[in-house]
Amino acid sequence: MIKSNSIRLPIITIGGFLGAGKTTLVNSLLSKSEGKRFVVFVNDFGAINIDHALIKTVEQDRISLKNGCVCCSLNEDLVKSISNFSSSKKPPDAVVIEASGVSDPRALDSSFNMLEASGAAFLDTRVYVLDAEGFGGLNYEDSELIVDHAVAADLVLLNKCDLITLEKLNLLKSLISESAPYSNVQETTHCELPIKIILSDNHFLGRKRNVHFSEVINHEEKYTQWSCETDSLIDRDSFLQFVNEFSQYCFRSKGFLRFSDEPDELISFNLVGLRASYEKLGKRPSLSSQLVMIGRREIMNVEVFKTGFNDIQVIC
Amino acid sequence: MTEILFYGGPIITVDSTHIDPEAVAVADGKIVCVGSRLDAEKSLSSKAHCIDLEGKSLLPGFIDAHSHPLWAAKTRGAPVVDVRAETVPTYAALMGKIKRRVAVAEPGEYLLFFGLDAQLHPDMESPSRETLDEIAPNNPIGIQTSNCHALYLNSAGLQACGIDENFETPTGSIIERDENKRPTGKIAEAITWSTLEYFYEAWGDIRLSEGFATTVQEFVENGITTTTEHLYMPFYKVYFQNALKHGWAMPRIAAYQQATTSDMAVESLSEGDDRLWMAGVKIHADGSPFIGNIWLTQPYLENEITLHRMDLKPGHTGSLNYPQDYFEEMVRTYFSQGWQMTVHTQGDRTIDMVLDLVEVLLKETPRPDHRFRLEHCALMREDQIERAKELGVICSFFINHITHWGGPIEDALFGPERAAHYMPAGTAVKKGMRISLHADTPMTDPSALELMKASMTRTAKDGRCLGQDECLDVMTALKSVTIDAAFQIGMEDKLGSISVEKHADFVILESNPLETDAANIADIKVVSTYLAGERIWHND
Repeated sequence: MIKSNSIRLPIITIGGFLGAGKTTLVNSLLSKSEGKRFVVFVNDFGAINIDHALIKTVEQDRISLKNGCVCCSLNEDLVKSISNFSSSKKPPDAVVIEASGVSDPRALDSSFNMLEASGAAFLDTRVYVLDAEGFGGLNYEDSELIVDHAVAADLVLLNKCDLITLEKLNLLKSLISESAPYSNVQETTHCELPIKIILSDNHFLGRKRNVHFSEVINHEEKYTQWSCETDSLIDRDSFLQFVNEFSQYCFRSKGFLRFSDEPDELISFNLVGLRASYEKLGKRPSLSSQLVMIGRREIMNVEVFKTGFNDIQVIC
Repeated sequence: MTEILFYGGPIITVDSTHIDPEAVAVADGKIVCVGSRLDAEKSLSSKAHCIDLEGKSLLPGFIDAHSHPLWAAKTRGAPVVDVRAETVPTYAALMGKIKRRVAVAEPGEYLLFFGLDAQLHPDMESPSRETLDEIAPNNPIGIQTSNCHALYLNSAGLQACGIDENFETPTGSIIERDENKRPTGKIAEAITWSTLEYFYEAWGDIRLSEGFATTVQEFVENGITTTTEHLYMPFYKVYFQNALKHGWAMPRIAAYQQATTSDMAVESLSEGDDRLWMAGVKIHADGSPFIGNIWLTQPYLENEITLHRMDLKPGHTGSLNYPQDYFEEMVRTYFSQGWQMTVHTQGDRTIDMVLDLVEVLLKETPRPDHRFRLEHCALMREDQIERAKELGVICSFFINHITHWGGPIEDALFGPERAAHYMPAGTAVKKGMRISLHADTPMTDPSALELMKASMTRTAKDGRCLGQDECLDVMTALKSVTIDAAFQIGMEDKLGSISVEKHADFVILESNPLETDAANIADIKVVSTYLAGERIWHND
């Protein structure tokens, strides 16, 4: 039951213990929003809503969830509120939920199920911010809780990595990579990273591109973006294999695909972390297949992608 | 005398003689009137407490017909470390977690991990005794599989539990041994559960009581007002009595005593006003499809999961837990004593054997209303359902297998044909059987709404549907966790529907499940739970 008068808002969740850098990340997202409008739900334990005050956006787009944990009692308010935004006259570009430091990220799942079922929103990226400096000083129970929570994220930020030795950072990185094998693990300082890794870009749907391959060097030189387009149909099995391979090297990919076994159907493709999802968009045969990938410069080998992308096309 | 009047929202009675009443009146823990608001008001005094449902739905309290609440507290409560694939996705991650726990362990401390899964941990190896010795030379350590049926121990663990070269394997159990008869560390079936008691005992009673309180709470938060303790053992009684004595909000418990021999005295048990009673006997005929010890007419598929992770031989068709005559003697004994039998059966060959036996027993000791139950029934065939119906045998389906393990069931274990009729609840209903559904907690979490969703959608985690034809309609699904579940525990006169003279056990749901899409049924919020007219939980 997709409501006709609403758009599907991407939801980004940001989890992490107190002091890990969640608010920093939210503000960083807002400052790099490139004209996009975010609605931010801030969740804070206690009567004084400190985080709320720290979020730098206009008042009406900042919703605080006082005196409670977003994972349980406030779920219903959250669903209602997001549904209202999605059907409003000027819907925002995305919803950001800053979950409380101690809440289990999985507890939000039923809210997301309801939102997805109603057509109001979809879960785009789950980010978990981990205080790399503080982690070593935690007791067994707290550090295991952090590990368990990180597993549920698409993207894990080992934040404040400038404050610890390389040796400690490597140990932490291998611990988190081993424990959360399906998440992307990124080292950050002040939660600095390109917004496109977190928020999927829907705006290129329908726009014809002239270039078939392009590489955009991000303003932060660590990351690179690569995109491609083709009018040929794509072989489904080869694509699945291609995704398996490139998901190791890129953090985020988004695209629209036309498979040879279903040529009229346009499929939306979304890769977050190692989680790939496919959604039918209906019969739109005039559009070509497009794919965008973002990854770390040092490990993304564009030549491999080019060859791979060529190999998945069905020659008519 | 407490009196309550419910009105102002849909009242789903699950009683065909009272459809869509306006109000329900409760006095002294029982339902006294179901009908118009005027009639309901008349049946109560002026002091009655009026509850306006404000559009929310009132239903009979849910019944999970096969569960293990006390055993769940033992199995899953702290200090057991949860390593199920949902939070610990790979075997490598699992071993890392074990090492970190060992690093902070006291010398000699008993360490237990729950949730190793050959189907869901993609890189799973069988943890050998030697590997575990290396990780934890000074601590008894055990890793239990998520299906509960098997346990891997290190040397200190085997020693602490008294299992060595000379230890005789009890009938019905498995102790894997090398060529010198030395246990490899892997044990399965009944010996698993008796061995684990050493761990639970080492952690003391306070831990168990606290864990039990938490588990019980989980049931009532999900609107479950009656459940069972399958595999009840006589020493469990004190924990239930303690809960009742301290007025815990504990669901009503139908106990099914575990039998592993035929000379056991089944305890007569009846506490409070239908709060705890001995309902019958539970016996395992076979084991778990996920470790390979179920008895089949057609073999398992052959692939990496079955041959390597599960360590099965090509052409594997499994076997019974007990020698057949030993099993038959147990069933004969307790059946002839008049107990209701609940028999764990997963493989179709096992089910053939049990149905043959029931036919013989009914000739030997005819009983018109025996309600002989088959539990789980993963690979039951259509002809077996027909035969069961004729014999008066009823099935309780562990439908959550599909939601939790649906992908591997189809791809790795049994193939699409058998997967399409795995847990054949739809066929059983079409043949006229009154079925129940269960979560078999601790294997999966207690939630009747999740059971309904699983039976109505048969959708696995990866989104595929296993056998559209076996899906239930919403009313049948609801009955299988209310009135038909009550029938299966022999309490349909007292529980399972909103009917006059029954116990006032209710659940209030935020929205009406009869008008909710199947895919969203499990997301309906449970607002309140009532037991004997008393609100025992409220979501505020």
